[in-house]
Amino acid sequence: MMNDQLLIARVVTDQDQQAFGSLVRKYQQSIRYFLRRLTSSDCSLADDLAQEVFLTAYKKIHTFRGESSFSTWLHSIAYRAFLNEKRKPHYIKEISSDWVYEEVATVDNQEQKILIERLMLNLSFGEKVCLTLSYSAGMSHQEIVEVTNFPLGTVKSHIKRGKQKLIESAKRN
Amino acid sequence: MKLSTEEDLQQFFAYQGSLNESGFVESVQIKLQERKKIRQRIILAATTAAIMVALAVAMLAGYEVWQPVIDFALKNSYVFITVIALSVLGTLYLKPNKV
Repeated sequence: MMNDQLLIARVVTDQDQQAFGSLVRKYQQSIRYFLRRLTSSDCSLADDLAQEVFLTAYKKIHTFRGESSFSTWLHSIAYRAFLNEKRKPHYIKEISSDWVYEEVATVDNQEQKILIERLMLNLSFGEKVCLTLSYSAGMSHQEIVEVTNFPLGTVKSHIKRGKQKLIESAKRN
Repeated sequence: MKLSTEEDLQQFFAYQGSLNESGFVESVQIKLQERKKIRQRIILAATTAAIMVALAVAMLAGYEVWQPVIDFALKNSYVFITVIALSVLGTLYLKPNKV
């Protein structure tokens, strides 16, 4: 299996769509899950955004300098795509816990997932983003700064406060 | 639910299940092809429109309408060549990447 640098080089120099397909195959899971977390499990919106993320990545891949990992770069595109979507007037600003309960229950019918979504509702947007990038995507604090453009101190405090909130609400459940 | 240790949190945030679908990859590639075709059509339409305008001007006003341009190119050939070269280089440099 070719490494990312080689695949990226082939996309930039030869416009090789097969090489780009390999990159999409490799990173689709993390990007789609990340967007599902941000959209509170709105799977169709998350997948539409994920598709746009990869199309934008293809268009701008020549600007990727390799200063961060390709995964970090893709996550930053995904984060900005979500923020743009959130700014649109038709975006559902507040998702109630009942909506999440119904959506998740009908799709997967798993109590664990319902509970996770409910606990996540107690977090602020910044806390949810920072905790997801840290624990789900396995990013360092510095990489989270690159994705979100939050100051390092803010990232650390979001993670600390988010963890406290989760622990407290898990105790209550 | 127990969420007291780092391991519990990692377990809590772990992405559940696999989302590795070939259908998603294919749909991204189909979209890329569609956008490429749309871009080609736009370039073709713009080029055709530019040629038609040039031909219409020449037909309606006669070829003497280009005389000032030809005079300028002959008098200041180095300026004319430099401008053309800069335009070509600028177009190549700013050319959007495929999509």
